[in-house]
Amino acid sequence: MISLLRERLESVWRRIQRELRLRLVWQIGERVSFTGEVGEKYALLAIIGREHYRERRTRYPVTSRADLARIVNLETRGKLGILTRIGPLVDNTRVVQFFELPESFVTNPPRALFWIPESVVAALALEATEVATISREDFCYYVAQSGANQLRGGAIVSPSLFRMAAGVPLEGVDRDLVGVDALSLLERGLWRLRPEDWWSFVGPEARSIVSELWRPVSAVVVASIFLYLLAVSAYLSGALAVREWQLERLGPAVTPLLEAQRQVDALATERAEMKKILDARAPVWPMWEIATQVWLGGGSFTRLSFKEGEVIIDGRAPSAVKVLEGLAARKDVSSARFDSAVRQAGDQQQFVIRLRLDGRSHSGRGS
Amino acid sequence: MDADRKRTLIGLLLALVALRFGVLPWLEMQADVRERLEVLTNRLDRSAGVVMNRNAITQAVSRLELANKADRSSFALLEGHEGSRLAAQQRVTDIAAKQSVVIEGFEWVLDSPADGKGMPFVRGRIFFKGDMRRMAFLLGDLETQMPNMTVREASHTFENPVYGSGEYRASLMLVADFHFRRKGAP
Repeated sequence: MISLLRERLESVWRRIQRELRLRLVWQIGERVSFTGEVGEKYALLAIIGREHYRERRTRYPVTSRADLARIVNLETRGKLGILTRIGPLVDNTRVVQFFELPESFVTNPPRALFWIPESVVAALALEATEVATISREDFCYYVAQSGANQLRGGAIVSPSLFRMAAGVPLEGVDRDLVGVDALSLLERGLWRLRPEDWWSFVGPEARSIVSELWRPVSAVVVASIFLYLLAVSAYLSGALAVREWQLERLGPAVTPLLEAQRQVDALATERAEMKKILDARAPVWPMWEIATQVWLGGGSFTRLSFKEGEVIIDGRAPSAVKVLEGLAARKDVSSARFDSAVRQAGDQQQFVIRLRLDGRSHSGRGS
Repeated sequence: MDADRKRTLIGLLLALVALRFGVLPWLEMQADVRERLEVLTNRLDRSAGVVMNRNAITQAVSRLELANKADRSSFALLEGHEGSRLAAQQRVTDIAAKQSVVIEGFEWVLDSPADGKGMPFVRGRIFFKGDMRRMAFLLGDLETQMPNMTVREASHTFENPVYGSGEYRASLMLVADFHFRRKGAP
């Protein structure tokens, strides 16, 4: 049962993963999904191939990221097809990467929520001394972890020359990735993107959707809250009016009836209290019947007490045990016992007997 | 940029003002109405209940009045603890006098709490002295003639060992609660 459930869950998880990977695309000459399929499906994320943009870097002596973002926005205002990425603060300066996309991207943009330059994710996936050579058909470029990247050509025609140019140590691993081999590297790099990078790379289409929709969505939310409050108020006012009308309709007969109801409660309480007291009264007179039992046993007593349903006799008899047996034999007596040690005093035995009287009530009292 | 910021701040300020002076008082008003509605609903339920049980309530009043009438005679209707102490002492003294038993001491040891539940009472400790037979009759009389009395302790001591129903001098210490109905109680 558990293994079957696990299989089902694994199957569902594989399906979700496949669907997600279908929506992650690599925009090179054609649009290749992370499953290796070619298609034009709307994607969550499009990695823009290095051949599609020009990259430049500018260093700004600005420490505040927010201020720098405003400056960059001013610089790129009115210019379409420019992605930017603000780097971390180093020596009180920040490096901003500008990725300038061709006119074709502006007129026919890739359908995806995020647009991410390929060189950024490739660099993030590399180790400090690694250099990757990524090539496809007649295009090839080199990239290092620092983000430095260079198209092959001119003086840079090998990874070692690129290392020297980019300031990467010469002894290190060179990775040669051809065609879709680069997908695994890019996928690893995606996981290393900072949250602020994700925000920088929100695609123009998604930005325009957000900028177009936030006003109507906000208006709908505010209107919904207002309508909800209005509906609640209307319901409460209506319900209140209905209750008042219902109470009025019951008429003046209710007040005396409520008074009578309270009287019933008071009378029932009074009855319960009186009954409790009368039922709890334990009769005391039967202790004189106990006294006669002592005399029948040939005994006498000097003290006869009653306390909380128990009778205590302090007396003398030729045989204290005989007296106790006589008392214990009575049907209305329970737990008859000596309360202290029996002492011999001449031909008499001195005793203290304690017993409990049962089944007596005032209704059964004698004259 | 400054204009944008100003606009955002003004929007935020307006939203906060609307929340503070519009939405919050509205919600408080709704809470008040909800409470009133709850009170009215409870009152309506109770009213509907009594109207529906009109006959049963009327019958219950008569039945309980009748049932309580007999028991009420056992408990005197008095102003308070002071009155109850006086009434109990007079009654006990009368009964003791009839049996020619002397009251050697009469002390009040406890009053029921003023705000306590149940029927109020006063607790007394009484010391009697007299003939043993008279003492036995006294106890019987007290129990039969004072149904509002609950004996908590009764202790007889005799000057000489008692061998039968002859003439013996005896003392009795009686601790008892005397219950009463308080005037004006519901």
